[in-house]
Amino acid sequence: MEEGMDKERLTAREAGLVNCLDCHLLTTKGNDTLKMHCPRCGAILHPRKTNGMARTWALLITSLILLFPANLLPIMTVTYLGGKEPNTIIEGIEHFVQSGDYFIAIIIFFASILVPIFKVVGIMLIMISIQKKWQTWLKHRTLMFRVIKFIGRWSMLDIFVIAVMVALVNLGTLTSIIPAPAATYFAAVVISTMLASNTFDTRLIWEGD
Amino acid sequence: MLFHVKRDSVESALILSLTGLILFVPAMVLPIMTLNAFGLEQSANILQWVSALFRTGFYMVGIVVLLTVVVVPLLKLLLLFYVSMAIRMRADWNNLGPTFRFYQRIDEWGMLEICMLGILISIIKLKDLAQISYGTGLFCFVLVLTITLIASVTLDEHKYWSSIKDVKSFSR
Repeated sequence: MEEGMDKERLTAREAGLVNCLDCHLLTTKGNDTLKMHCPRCGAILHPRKTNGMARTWALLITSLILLFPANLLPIMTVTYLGGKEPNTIIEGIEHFVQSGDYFIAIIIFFASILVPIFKVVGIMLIMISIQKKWQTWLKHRTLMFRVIKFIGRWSMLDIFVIAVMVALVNLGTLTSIIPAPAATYFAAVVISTMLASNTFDTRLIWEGD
Repeated sequence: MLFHVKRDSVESALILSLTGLILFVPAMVLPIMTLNAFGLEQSANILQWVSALFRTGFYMVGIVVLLTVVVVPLLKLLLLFYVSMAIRMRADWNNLGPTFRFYQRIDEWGMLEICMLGILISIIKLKDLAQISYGTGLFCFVLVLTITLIASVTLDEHKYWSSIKDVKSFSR
């Protein structure tokens, strides 16, 4: 398996074939109609996703901007015996470290901080490499994208932890937990990065010129 | 061994989705956990998590939890049942293709296993501070989660797509 473009090989697009994105059926492309439907599942066929790059960039920039309030603002407020204490994601992780739960601290650090940043930076790198037409590391970039797509959902972890805490720790001024603004921003970051992975067309990585 | 199961994957998908659907309502309505501290008690089921988020004004987070833990998993079970039944009965029901396509599209938005990990982490976090007792809802939730995981792993998309095509061309 060689990397790079082989001039003798025919791509599906050049042969007039389109692969359905949902059911993967190959169909011959018609000449007039811009919007063809897959004969098996009815999806609209896209030889390349419409405005794939532009939409992905928009979502990536949105995610990047949202990352700041998500991490800098508190994500929940803990009331214990009358005293209120707002906590950011990072402060929450510090609590786990202090109480000796290193394992959980690592899990939350990964899911809430590393994964979102890795996703945003990762997709950006791939996008930049496409726009600058770098021809190397094609397989690695595709693999990296698959990893990004797979781990993306797991960032939602912190949101579920908050949901359980808020619902259970609800004993008035003695002890209660309520969410704080970062929760909404964080949920938004996870969603926008997941959408960015969906709007990105991986076939673009393999496009020569 | 899992590859042998794929031969009868439509039948197992039917059984799994039906069982999942039966267990779904208890999983959502029965309490997951009860917290006991300072002599006071608080328990919650999954729907109450969502209403707690709404109560505190965090509507978007509440909707996200509602979608990823309740709506999407329920839809996936219903849709899988619908498509599997149609294939099993070789009946050209309405919109088989678009339905299965929709199923595949929403697949990643069902986050039951991530929710499970969140529950575990909360348990560990709360264990030292208060007494926790586990409800029947948690048991049902774990069952539904296991069912959806097995259903995903054993789903043979290629076989389903070719079966859908067969069913369509088979009818007048």
